[in-house]
Amino acid sequence: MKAFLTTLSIFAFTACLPLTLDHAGAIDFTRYQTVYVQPVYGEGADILTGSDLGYQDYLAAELAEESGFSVITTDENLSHDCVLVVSFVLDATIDLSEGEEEYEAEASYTLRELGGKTILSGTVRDESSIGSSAIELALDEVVHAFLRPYRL
Amino acid sequence: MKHILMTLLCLSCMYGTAQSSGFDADVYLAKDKTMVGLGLSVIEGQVGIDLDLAFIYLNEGAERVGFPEDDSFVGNLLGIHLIYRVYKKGPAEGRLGTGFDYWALWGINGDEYKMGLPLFVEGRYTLAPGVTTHLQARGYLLASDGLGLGIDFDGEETSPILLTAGLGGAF
Repeated sequence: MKAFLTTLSIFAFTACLPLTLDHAGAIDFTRYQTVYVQPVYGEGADILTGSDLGYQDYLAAELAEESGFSVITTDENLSHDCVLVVSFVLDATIDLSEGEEEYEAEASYTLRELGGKTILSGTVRDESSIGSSAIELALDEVVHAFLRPYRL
Repeated sequence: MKHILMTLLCLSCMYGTAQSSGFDADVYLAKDKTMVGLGLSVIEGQVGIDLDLAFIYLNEGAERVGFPEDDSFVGNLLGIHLIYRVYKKGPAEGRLGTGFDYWALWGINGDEYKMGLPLFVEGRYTLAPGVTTHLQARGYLLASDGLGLGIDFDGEETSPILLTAGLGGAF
């Protein structure tokens, strides 16, 4: 018993093996450092079609915190390497048995070079019982698509 | 994630009072990271189920890129596994297991995760009635890109396994 415990203790303290968590980044952030975020338009339930409603600023702020871009701007007159175009559709469903609303937001994004060539595009969705939360969660997924590279 | 946590909770409730149930306190032996957690395993006959929940922290001074120097919490490891008891003689027991590991890396980004399909071997020893100790070696048959068992920060590769040691209580 004592020998077993001694062996286990020695093994435990000496057997730490490396474990690396790594993400290379979905695009080359050394090439695309400065992004212009266009106004974010949406349509669907409770949405004023053609109005940004502040989601451009929300997306830019989240990108500044989480993405691999060095500079994020919402001013198209400032110098930038690429343009991020995001739009969303918000669907609402009502659970008649419980009288609760459920919202699903689907956000489509395209990152383009200044010449118009698509660098990365995709569609993400998320849901919430609050419409604005569903939109923000979907935009968070857009930000996740441009997550900064990490290695630890 | 909400569904995974609910599943873990439900399974805990289902098996919490079953015969041969046991809780473990686990330490994952990963270099430059502190990983501690709890496990719940139930075996009826030779087959059972095992649930793991671990907290992952990056040690102070560990090399890092894209992760703040003053942060340490990386996320959680959630595992659900089928286990098969291949050996039992006296206080000693051997198990094999496979299942699903979900690495929820909330400390990096709320939507960031990695997944793995593990295969593990585990040796258990009963120290006293109701008290066990164990050592587990886990490898991945399939894993997300960037989940590098046995790979150090500089890319050097060693054995692609994750070792876990711990103490448990059977009831």
